Amino acid sequence: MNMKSAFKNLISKEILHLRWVIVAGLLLNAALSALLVITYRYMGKIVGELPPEMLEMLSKYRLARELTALFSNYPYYVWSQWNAKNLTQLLAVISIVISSIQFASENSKKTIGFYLTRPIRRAEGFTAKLSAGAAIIFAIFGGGAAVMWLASRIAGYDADWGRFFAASFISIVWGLVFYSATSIISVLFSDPIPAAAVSGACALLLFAPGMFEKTRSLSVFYHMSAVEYYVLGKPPFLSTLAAVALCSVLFAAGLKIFEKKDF
Amino acid sequence: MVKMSSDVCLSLKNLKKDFKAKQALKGITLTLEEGSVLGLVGPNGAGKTTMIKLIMGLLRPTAGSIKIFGKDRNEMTRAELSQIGYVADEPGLYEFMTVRQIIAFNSGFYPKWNRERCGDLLSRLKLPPDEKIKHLSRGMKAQLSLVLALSSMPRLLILDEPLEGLDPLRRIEFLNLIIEDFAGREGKSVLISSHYLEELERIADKIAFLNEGLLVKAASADKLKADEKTIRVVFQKEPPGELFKMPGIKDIRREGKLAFLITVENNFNEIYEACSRFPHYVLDIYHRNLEDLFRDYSGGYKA
Repeated sequence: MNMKSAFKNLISKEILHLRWVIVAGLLLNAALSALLVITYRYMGKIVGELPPEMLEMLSKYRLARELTALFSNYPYYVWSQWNAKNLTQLLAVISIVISSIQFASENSKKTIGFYLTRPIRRAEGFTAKLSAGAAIIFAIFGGGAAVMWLASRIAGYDADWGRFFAASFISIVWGLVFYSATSIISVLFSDPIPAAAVSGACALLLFAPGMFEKTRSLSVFYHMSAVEYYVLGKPPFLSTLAAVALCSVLFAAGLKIFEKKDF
Repeated sequence: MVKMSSDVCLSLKNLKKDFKAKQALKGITLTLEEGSVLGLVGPNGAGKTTMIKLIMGLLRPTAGSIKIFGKDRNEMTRAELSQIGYVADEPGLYEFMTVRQIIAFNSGFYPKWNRERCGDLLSRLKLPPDEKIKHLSRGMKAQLSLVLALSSMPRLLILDEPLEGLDPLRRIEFLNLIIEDFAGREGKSVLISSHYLEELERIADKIAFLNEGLLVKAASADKLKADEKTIRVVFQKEPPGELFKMPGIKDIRREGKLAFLITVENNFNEIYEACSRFPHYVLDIYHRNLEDLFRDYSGGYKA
């Protein structure tokens, strides 16, 4: 037995443990992607068929102006409905579910005792769990982005797909920041329900600064939408590096707590 | 009973564990020699599970040291850790896995995993390989947990209340497996905590009594029983008070107006002689069993 095979064993266990989350996440993403394309087709049709005088009248209202813009620009529509909405919301929910199963639920079912009394170091156990969680998140949302692309192509809509996938990558990396934070919360609890509730409250706290222009940059969810790259055209490197740095800090903090915790 | 060797397999030194306001372990010093079986006994809340969880690394000690195979617990390599088998009071097996899947998962950590032994144990205990663990009974889960531990061919087997909830047949089978793999095997040691004192007496070379976080006594079962005897005497008239003040008397319990149970820890012959000199109706020696000792050391049943 070497470290590599033991680690592989730990990862396989996590994937088996979370298989229904993976299946549900992929199906939900696929369904939402298809729904987005269908919605665009029909809403776009409705907007396109509105008489000019009505469009002029509607242009007095902000919401109507935004809706008209949304359904007449597919690349913007894809970003706003996928990166800034579905991916962000679903990623937060799935992160909470994954981390609650991986830590708090294992603690409540006492399986963590079985897990940690295998001949592994706690650091290996924690690293395996987070690596598997990150890989699953990438698979679910990378898969979701691929379905979005495929559904768009089938429906005959085009966008800058390179830009879309890069934005999705940024979104997922920022999603991992949130997942790392929920993992720490889940380690602290021995019941998945309060762990999920506190993680949900944490999501709201992290979401709140994104609602105000001055504090936007403090919100993980603002960065998760990849708006600065996709809409404002800023280079993606700094934002991605910042997310990686935050993930590393949260990982180190989580590891320290996990190593010292009594189970 | 197994042959004792002088090498120490497990050594605890002044081991303490505090949980917020509660001191669960108050400084335990204990050794388990290689090739021997140590039984851990004590009422609920005595600190047995806490001690075992500390040894297994699930809890962090407040103070003291734990050495396994002569090495500090925290400095053990993965290869060394793989020589410890553990069966918890609650097995904590992954219920979403099948028996086969948990065996595959577990075997990946142990270089000395014995597939043949594992298969043999599974068929002997009639554990269905394709059954989901969530569908197994509590007893079957405990047995599966033992199969996982024994198939890893450990040098040290740690069992925390493994017999709890097992029917008598499963209890016998469980102990037989431990005896088969460990009794008389050079360099194989067992630490087992249990409330089933008769069964414990069958396999343990040494018994350690824990109460309220303290090690009350540790000795071989035979020595424990030989050290203390009880004289049951019914006098014909009230005996003189000096009789009960003789050195070596640990406890006197009055069972009737003139009937006494005198627990003697040493100086037995002289005390017995002194009792026999007074007119009496009955004078018996009552050999104490582990249950009596358990009651004494735990200050009565608290469980």
